[in-house]
Amino acid sequence: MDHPYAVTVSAVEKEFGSGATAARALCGATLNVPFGSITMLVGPSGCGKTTLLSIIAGLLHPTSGSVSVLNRDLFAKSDAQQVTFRRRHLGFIFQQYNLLPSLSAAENAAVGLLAAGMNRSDAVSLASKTLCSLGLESKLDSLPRTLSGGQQQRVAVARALVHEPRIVLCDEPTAALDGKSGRAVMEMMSAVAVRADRAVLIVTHDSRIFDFAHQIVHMEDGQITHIEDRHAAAIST
Amino acid sequence: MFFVALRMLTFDTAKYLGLIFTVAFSTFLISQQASVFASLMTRTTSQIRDVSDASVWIAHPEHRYIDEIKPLPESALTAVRGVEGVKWAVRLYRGLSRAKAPEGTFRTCITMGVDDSTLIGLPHKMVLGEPDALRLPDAIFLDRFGYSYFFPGQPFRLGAELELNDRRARVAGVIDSSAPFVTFPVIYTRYSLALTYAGQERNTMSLILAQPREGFTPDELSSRIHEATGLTAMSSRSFGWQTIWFYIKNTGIPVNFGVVIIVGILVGTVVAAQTLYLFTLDNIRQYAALKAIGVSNFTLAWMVLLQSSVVGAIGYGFGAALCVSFFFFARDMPHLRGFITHYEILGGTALLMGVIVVGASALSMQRVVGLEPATVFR
Repeated sequence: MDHPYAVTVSAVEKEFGSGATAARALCGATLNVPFGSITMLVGPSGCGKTTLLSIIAGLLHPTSGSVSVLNRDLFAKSDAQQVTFRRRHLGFIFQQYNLLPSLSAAENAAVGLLAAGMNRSDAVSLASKTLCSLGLESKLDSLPRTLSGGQQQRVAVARALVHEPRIVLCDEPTAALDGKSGRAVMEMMSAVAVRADRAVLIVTHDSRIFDFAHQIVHMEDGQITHIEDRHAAAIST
Repeated sequence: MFFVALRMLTFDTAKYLGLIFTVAFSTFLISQQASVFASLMTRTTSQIRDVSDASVWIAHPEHRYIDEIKPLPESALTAVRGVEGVKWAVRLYRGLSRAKAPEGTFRTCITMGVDDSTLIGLPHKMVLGEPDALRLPDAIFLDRFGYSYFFPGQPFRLGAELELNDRRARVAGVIDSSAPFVTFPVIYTRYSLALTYAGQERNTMSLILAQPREGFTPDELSSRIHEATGLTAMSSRSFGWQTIWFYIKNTGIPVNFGVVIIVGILVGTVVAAQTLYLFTLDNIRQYAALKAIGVSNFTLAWMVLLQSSVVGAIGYGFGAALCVSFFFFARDMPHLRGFITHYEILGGTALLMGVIVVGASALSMQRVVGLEPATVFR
């Protein structure tokens, strides 16, 4: 791998609104997310963590600065190319799981594959294998409402991983879970998502899972205040 | 992704049935009210439609429509017969008379007097009896609903008697005539006999029925008759429309029905479109998640259109079936006879519901396509 970083963010600014009502959510954020690591974005509510995650995902456009994901300038691509890129290379885990209530666990996990054009039976079969690897073999046909919070989040993890994305983006993945379930989800993520050619970026408040991080990025008032390397000394910015 | 769209649609059964009910209700309201109006207008032309032997109708120049006829002098018939292109022309009497049953029941009836020798003007649909029986003394044909009124609960029987203008009339046949605008019984008899049932006037001939020779169209012949005699002549179709327009212009029926139909269309459109749109809004977070995951706007738009189309098609089907059922079960009610489902109206309603579905889909698509996928993180 020529490039050591899965994500490179340089001097990114983001402003919502304009004129007197303008609100600056990010002020010159600069960050590198290395391959083979779990990076956590932490900080108080409203500090810009989710905005930065949305920009890295290509769901929000930065006001200025540049973002390179897998060594590609995401915002140089057309909207359609961005959608394809997202579908192929990114996996998402949301705080509220965002499972479709009408689909079974296996079908929910298969949604990304279906969106990519895979036929239904192949997609569900592949998603079922991923769910089995996450210990949900007895819940393949269950609807989300019949699953516990931890089980729902595991389905969401399966949905994020089933297409083997290079980068997994998570928004508060353990916020709705008890300590035990949260750790179980993180252990799963560490085991499945962290590879030499992959990276995981997590927005979290949950200090119980900080010990899974290889890098913790502290944010405040739209700025990255310091980056903590869990394998080395803290890197000051 | 289409199965995902269908699962989203049908998952909440109450909401799904609510959507279908809304479209079905709108369809029923629009098609039923429009069909009632169209049927009511069609009923005004019942006696014209029942005459299938003649294609040209001749009336006094001052007549306004079939129910307001000024009688013609006998010389008019001779004049019409003399016009080039007329194959034949015969008298027709149309008037109102009061009939009394043996039990004392009486009712005003529409009395039609057809040509004594040819019986032209007689409806062809006989329920009981033969057309030639009208040549018997005191013979009348009574329409089946009139028969049921005068002889309730009795099977159709030839020889039953009524009293018309103090004269005996004997039922020699039962006919299946079209329902008139007002639900009076309809009596057909010979022209000469009809005059005895009616009060005498100087002129007695209500109308003349004529048929063009080969090579002449009814409209051409009508123009010739008008030019040659000064009488008003028109084809059956034109005469029917003249009657319908009279009712449209001179009664409050079209205005009242028009208001109901327009309100039905507006309510149906607004409620159906709003319900479909709200369904999309209810699922907006799911759409945002799909969008974030990498489902394209194009696919999402098709999902929305599919959901609306399925609801529209099933809802329309139920609404149309309900409308057809209404008229099917009402067909034997005397006051509702002649009320039918007009398939042109069902077609128009289908088109309208299609527009509503596409319109609601367009609104929903706009919402989904313009949706910021980052909202899924909030």
